[in-house]
Amino acid sequence: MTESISRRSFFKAAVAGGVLLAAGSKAHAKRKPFKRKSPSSVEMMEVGIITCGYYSHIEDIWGRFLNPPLDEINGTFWPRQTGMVMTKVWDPDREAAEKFAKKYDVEVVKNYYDMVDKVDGVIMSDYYATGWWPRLSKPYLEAGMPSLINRPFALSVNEATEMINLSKNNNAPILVPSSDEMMFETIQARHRLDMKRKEGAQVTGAMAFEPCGEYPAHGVHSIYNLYTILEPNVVAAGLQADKWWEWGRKGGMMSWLCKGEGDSPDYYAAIRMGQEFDTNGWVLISTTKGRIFADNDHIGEVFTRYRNLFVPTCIEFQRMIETRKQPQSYEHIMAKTMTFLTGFYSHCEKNGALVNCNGVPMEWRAPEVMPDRIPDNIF
Amino acid sequence: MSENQTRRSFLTKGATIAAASLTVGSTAEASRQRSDRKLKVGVFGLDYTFWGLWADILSPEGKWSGTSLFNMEVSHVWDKNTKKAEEFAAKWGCEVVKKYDGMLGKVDGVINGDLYNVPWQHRMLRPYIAAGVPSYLSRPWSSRLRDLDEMLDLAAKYNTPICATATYEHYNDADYFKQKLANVGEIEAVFATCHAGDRPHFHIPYMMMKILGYNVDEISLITNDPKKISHLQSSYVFAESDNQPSYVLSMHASGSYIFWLTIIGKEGTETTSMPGEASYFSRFAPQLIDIQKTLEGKSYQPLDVVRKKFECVITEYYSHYERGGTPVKVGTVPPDWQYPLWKPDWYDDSDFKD
Repeated sequence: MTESISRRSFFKAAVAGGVLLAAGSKAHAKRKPFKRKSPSSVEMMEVGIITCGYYSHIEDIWGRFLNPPLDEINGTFWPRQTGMVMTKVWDPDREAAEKFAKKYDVEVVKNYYDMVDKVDGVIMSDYYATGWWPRLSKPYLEAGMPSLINRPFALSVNEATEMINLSKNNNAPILVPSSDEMMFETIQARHRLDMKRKEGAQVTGAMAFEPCGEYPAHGVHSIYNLYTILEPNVVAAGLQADKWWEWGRKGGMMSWLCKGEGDSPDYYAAIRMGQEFDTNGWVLISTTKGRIFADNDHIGEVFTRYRNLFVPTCIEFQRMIETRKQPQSYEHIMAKTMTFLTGFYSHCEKNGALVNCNGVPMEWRAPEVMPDRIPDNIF
Repeated sequence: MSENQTRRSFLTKGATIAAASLTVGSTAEASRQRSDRKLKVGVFGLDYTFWGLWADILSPEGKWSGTSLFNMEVSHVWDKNTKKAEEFAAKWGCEVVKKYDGMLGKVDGVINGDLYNVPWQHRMLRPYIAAGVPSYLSRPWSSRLRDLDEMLDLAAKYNTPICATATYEHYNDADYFKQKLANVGEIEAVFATCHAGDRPHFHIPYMMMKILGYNVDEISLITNDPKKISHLQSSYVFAESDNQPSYVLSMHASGSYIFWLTIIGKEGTETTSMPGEASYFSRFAPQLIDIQKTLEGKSYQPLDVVRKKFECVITEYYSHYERGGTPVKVGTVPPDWQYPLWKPDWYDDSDFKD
């Protein structure tokens, strides 16, 4: 077992280490930040979409909340549920972009940077494009634009650091969400833990279960979810699985070694990542003053289920655009990203053994499902 | 035994051969015929031991004196440390024997309650098992697969009733919870915790296998130290079976519960637990009842189940000590591999005659 160096101290160093911009160089979007005129005014925040074609959250799920279709989808009617509207889209796959544009009645832009100053915020959506987020997000972060950069955020520590530094230095708030983090059950669990901690309770263990078919696009939800509830100091992590993508029925098993709270000893968090179409998400936190349990069944009528599971993320993004305040700190974003990357590194390089989080080389890059998703010639 | 013979086939064959091979001098046969006296129990292991609790429960001088629930009495004791044996004998009213095989012909069964002597258990109990004397093996039953096999082979050959269990296997929940599996449908995940200061006290895996079955394919163990647990996580991967995909049983040593478990399925979730305040009587009496049944002539579990349980134990240790906590296939640990002993010099060859 590697040494238990505090992850937090490393994160502070990593985040602070990249602040290199010249003095006075904080850039602001030329487009004025969104502001409603009055409580009854009906202006909408305009949102641009970066990638929509493959394994696409926006195309399949979020899109209907922002630009609700006029007709039912499989017998369910979707009303407008946010104060945002998508107006533009880009994808290197022109055909996919046009298909998206037709479905949601938005404009296709030619270049990935064409939405700078043209919208109030951007959503970087597709999991397969994760390896290109640093390059795709750069013009928007430099312009100070609110940006949703979808999980798992980055494939290396260096890339995560790069984006966080750009965001920080240009006052461009970012949201790096998992739907699970924003659910009511998660917020409640976090609240109950906070109450217990105020009474002096210390966490002594955690267990979680997540329906998912692979690690980096959906197993990551359980990582973000548990991290948001616990906000632990993750010292080491390991992922045991036969494979990290389409892992079938056997699924994966992730373990975290977390620094003990107060005078409590270090403890483990165990996340069982199941198979696709499993039904019950579940978290249990053990503390010195009792247990906290959060259960999110992924079953039931689709409208209600989506409203609980997916709409809150969109509302948080809307809130971020309007207030320009991030719902999660840079340290939080970096910590959950590091936990994710450490699990990946453990699986790919160490046969699933626990790896100290600051033992992951900064330049080590997680594998990609679609290495040619974004062609170089678009940059 | 031929390397190609499966464990299961040998045990079945041995049991058939040994059906009528009880040796002269054993009182086991007499006990099976139900006498009007209590079963005489020979005691082994007085150090890191259950005997402080067991003797209290069984003895008229104990906290639960007067109970007619048990038909056993502590009649003889042996320990390498004669002074310790004499102190035990004085307290609980039994006789000290001078040698480890000195209880042959005097007891209806022997019960080893210690942890430190487990690596030598196969030698200590050999004369008794070979004589058909019902025997309780202290968990985790051995320190090497080869030594456990020796005991099980002897038990099969001489048709000796064996009980090799951990306390939790005897709880009511371990029996009835299996029926609750029907409520959850296809199992998606299983979680369990138990309070344990070291791996030998981490009994929850055995209880869980009794509920879920013994079809464990891979195991990993991560912990700071199996002998002094600050944190421990054990993961058992169950193989795919009829209409049941593979799933993981994740277990922690933590919390204030004696045990707590949850089974998550496609159609529901089932949970049960025993609080930390449960009395010693309710925690330990169920096992003593089942040990009594063994002394009356009925093995508690098939020998291949005992073997599988130990295979899981040794695989856990192997995962931790040899593989950095990564998963190890059950059945791949070399039979001579031994986990680091608590007291490597506790016994030596001079203590036994083979």
